[in-house]
Amino acid sequence: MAKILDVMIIDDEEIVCRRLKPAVEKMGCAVEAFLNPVEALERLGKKDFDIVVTDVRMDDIDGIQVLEEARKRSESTEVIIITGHAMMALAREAMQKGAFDFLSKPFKPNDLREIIIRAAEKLGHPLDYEIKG
Amino acid sequence: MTSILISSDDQQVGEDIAHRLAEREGYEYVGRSLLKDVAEKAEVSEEKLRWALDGTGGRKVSKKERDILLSYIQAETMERLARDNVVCADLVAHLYVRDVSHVLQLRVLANPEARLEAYAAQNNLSRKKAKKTLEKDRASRVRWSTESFGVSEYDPAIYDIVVQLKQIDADKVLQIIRDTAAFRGFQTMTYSRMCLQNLLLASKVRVALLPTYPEIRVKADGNRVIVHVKCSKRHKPQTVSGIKELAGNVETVGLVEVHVVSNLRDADVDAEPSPITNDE
Amino acid sequence: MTVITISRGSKSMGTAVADQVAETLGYECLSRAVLLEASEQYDIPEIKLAKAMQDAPSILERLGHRKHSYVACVQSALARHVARDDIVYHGYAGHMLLKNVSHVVKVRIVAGMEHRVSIVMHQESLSEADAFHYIQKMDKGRQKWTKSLYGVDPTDVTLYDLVLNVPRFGMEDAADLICRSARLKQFASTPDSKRDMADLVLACEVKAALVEEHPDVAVTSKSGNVLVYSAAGDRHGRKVRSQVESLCQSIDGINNIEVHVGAAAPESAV
Repeated sequence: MAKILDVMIIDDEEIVCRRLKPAVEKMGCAVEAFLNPVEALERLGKKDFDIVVTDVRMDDIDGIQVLEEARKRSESTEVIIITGHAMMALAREAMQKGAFDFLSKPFKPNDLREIIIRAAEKLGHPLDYEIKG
Repeated sequence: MTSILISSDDQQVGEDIAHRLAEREGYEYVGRSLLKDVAEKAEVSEEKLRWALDGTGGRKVSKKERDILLSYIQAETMERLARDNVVCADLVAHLYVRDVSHVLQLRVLANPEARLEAYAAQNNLSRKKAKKTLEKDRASRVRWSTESFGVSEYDPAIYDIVVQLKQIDADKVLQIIRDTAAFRGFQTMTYSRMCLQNLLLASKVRVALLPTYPEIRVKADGNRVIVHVKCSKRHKPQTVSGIKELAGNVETVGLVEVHVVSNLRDADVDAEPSPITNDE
Repeated sequence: MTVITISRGSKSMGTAVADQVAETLGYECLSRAVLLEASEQYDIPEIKLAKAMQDAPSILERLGHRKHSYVACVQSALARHVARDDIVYHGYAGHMLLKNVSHVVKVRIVAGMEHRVSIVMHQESLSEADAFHYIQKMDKGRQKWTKSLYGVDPTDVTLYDLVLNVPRFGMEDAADLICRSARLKQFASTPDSKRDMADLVLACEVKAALVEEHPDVAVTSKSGNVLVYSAAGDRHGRKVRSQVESLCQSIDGINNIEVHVGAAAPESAV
């Protein structure tokens, strides 16, 4: 049986988590969503996630710190950065620190799905999911 | 995959490096031969396109015409760059493709001594005269690039790397490019690809607008286009509607925002557009 | 053995890159240590040397010929230090002094103005406009200093083998690329380049010994044959000659030493 990918979503905007969680679950992934990055990191300490999708601008901990922590805990975790305040300097920093991809908001769910499909392929667990529309 | 823009203070040196790179690494080479396609599409002479690029032609090309010609070249070059895996030389792409992380910007400086000697020999000049001429050329390029694109071609901060061909030879330059292209910070990401698409769309809108509205600055964000135009208050209504119509006819353009300014230098075109709420 | 000099505009992450390069290659990272060495060797307070190397030429002119003396001391200490070991040097226009030695990789670090302004705004708690002026002032000062000492603009990219826009690379990748370049065989030391370095050390030492009393001297050395150029007239030239004769006894490595009065010094002279 194909591995079910574990995906974590971190965004302090509830609407984002509310929309992205089912959108990624439809791909056959097991998804946990967090509004609080501190709690998300605590969870990362207890469980390995294959993919982490994180916002950047959050209270207490920003997405770059999440990226650094996630990669420190497991180098095989692929981190996707999403942000409504995209700037090339930030994007470069994220990539230099090991992000898999960087996506600016607003985006359509399929934009994120495409990236997750590629991340899954890189992890050696391709998803049996076809993007429609 | 990373695309590479090669600029040089010596045209032959830049072309040589670009050709070697294309051959060895399997990139698509985009260079001066593009001007033939541009000339056909835009129905202008290739010679005029060359004048516009080289900053020559004197009074045969007005500033307005030069800007239009450069806009044609820019749009066509951007179209090729959007394909990925491209090495581009001699089309001054380094002046209008800025801040796209997966497009590596390299400037190669010819060995100054060798260049001076070769130039003096080719043009039958004394060393002193050759040096003076080259300095004059350089000043002219700085002026041209600043007037046409708002940046000096000789400013090292616009490039990712500048390499001098003195102790580092052409083969080692290729190695440097290979090493750099492999760094994570230069890998394609969705955001950088989007930035390139935005530049492409903006360049197409400029082509559509420049003949009628020569004093504009254009930025694209997805299918949203923001145009800053210099015009008087009296002409504002027809300018705004004219721009919206022309820009709106460009493929994939959705919303067109027009800002009338009295001075284009004040137009903060590079400011990030105000964040839009998520629409996932 | 390779030497890497890293020149940078203010607030361009140059120091961090230099440290990283040195750590990766296992080289010594040198900047302030040169001042300390010069201070000990020539018995001049370090703070005076630091001021001489940092202050704008207009301030230095008040020191009169002392400036030349201080700078010559630092250059001599730098040349001597660099000749000994694998070094990464950053600061005080070392690449100008070492420009004719082939096993020296000359690197310049740059960053876009936006990046530098944001660093200064953060570090110095300045507004954007003030940060911009701050950087311009510092850049202008460095340019003036280098121009007054070496007659060149430090921002001229033709002075360098490699110029890197560090914020686009990130510090680690920038350092990585510099290390790879330093490992190129073109920058490996050869018997000829080691001899050039030894000659540079000698020329700097001779100059440091003479410049206090003769601020206008320039010195070259080729295989230990030292030429001292003095622009001054005959009377002054005699003084230089008599002082120079005693140097043969006190400085090792001099095969022969000559004084050329009134002749223009070559570009390679220190």
